[in-house]
Amino acid sequence: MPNTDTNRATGGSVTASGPASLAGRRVLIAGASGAIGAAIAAAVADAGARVCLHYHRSSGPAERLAERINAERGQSRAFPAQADLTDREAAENLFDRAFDRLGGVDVLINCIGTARDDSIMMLTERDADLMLRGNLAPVVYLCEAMRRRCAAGDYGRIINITSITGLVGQPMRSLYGAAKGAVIAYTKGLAREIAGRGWTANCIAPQVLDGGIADVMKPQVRAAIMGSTPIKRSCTPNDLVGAALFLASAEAGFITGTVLNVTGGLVTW
Amino acid sequence: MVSHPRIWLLGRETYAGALADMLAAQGATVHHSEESDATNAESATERLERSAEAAHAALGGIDALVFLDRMRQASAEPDPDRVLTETITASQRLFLAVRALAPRMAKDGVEGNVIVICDDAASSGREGFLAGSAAGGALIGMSKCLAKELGRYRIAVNVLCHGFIEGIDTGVQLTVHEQMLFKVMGLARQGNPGHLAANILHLARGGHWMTGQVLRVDDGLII
Repeated sequence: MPNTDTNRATGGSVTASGPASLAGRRVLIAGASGAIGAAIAAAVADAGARVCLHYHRSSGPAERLAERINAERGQSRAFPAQADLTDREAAENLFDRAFDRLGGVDVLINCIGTARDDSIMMLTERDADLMLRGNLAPVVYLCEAMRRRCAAGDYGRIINITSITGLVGQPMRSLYGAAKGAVIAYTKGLAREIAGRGWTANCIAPQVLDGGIADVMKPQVRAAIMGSTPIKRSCTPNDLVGAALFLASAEAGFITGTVLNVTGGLVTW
Repeated sequence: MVSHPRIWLLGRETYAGALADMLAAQGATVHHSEESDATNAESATERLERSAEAAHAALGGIDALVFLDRMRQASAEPDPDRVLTETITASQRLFLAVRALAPRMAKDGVEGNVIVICDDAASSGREGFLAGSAAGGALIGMSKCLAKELGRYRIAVNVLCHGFIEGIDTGVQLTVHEQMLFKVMGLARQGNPGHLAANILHLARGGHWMTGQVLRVDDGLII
């Protein structure tokens, strides 16, 4: 019988179906104070993992999430950790802190994303630098830190949250599309390089997100996207939980270098 | 459809000159911008704006931008900083070039084409080639966004991902699978810039009704 806990941090429901497939696993979640990261963090903790909850600026959500997880589990299951992941030294330091406190890192989930939407005519060189660095640097720095610190042969799962924009493009999002496209291609190359360690690396590509871009879209654009989505609603952070839990699990050990498309059927290619 | 497209070829790669000659031999008019290195005196924005203006003036209008991604060398050593800087540079080059070009195309009323040339690794990833993979992936992601943004101006944006091309030496080694493709199936042979030119001209001439696509010019290296 599945356990269903109300995720007070996100207001949704998180269901861990089946046995806790992450029991004993040690998980680092980059961007745990954001909506996606928080939903996934709560779910991996419910599934039996111990979790390092990274945040950059907003300590409150990560700290409250850690408190809730630890209160519900009656033990120290989660802890927050701050770092600016666009800085390589800070990213490596974060990974080391997570590794040292958890006793290792089995699963790395990158939920960092930053967007600057505008026409190509309004964007600048600086925008390109900030967007690419903000979205890609955390991924490459943390992935390489994991490769440096964790031994080949140990359990290893890397999950990078990308976007439908990186898969199929969206107007007025050229730099975001570049950044997320880079995450996809990097993850595919990395998957090939780390396969010999017994590790996997995959992406999850969500559709426009409630609590994110969906909330600031023009109503007619949002309506058009919803109208084109067979499952007629926008994506919620909880929609990504199942995908993340699965890719982090032992059951997904032969899946690597892929992009799991969580778009409600909007993208079927 | 334009029989003799005016092509702005942007890139200083070693095969660019041969490519320009082949395009010209097949009826295109080509202005090749080799892109000087950035200087303190001129930003990348200014440099590409200047290149676009020079190309537009030399050609009397531009029907197609052929954007060559930089050649990179494979490396077995992980280098995340290189992944980042190469991806940022590639993305900035493309976005600034298109930003300089698009208003000119729109003003001229041409049905324009942006043709991005990058390595197959951009769509599939490649071991030992993470910088090239990520940079190329960025170009693909951006190109799809630009295709959707510029469609209203009748500017098509497509990507050609190439396999092993003579004159483009990245130092990547064939995988066992790729060696099998070649030995058993006769696929994944080395191509030459002429193969790229043929596909570029098809897109540059227009009338193809394609945009936002990624075409692999690799003799079946990836199917």
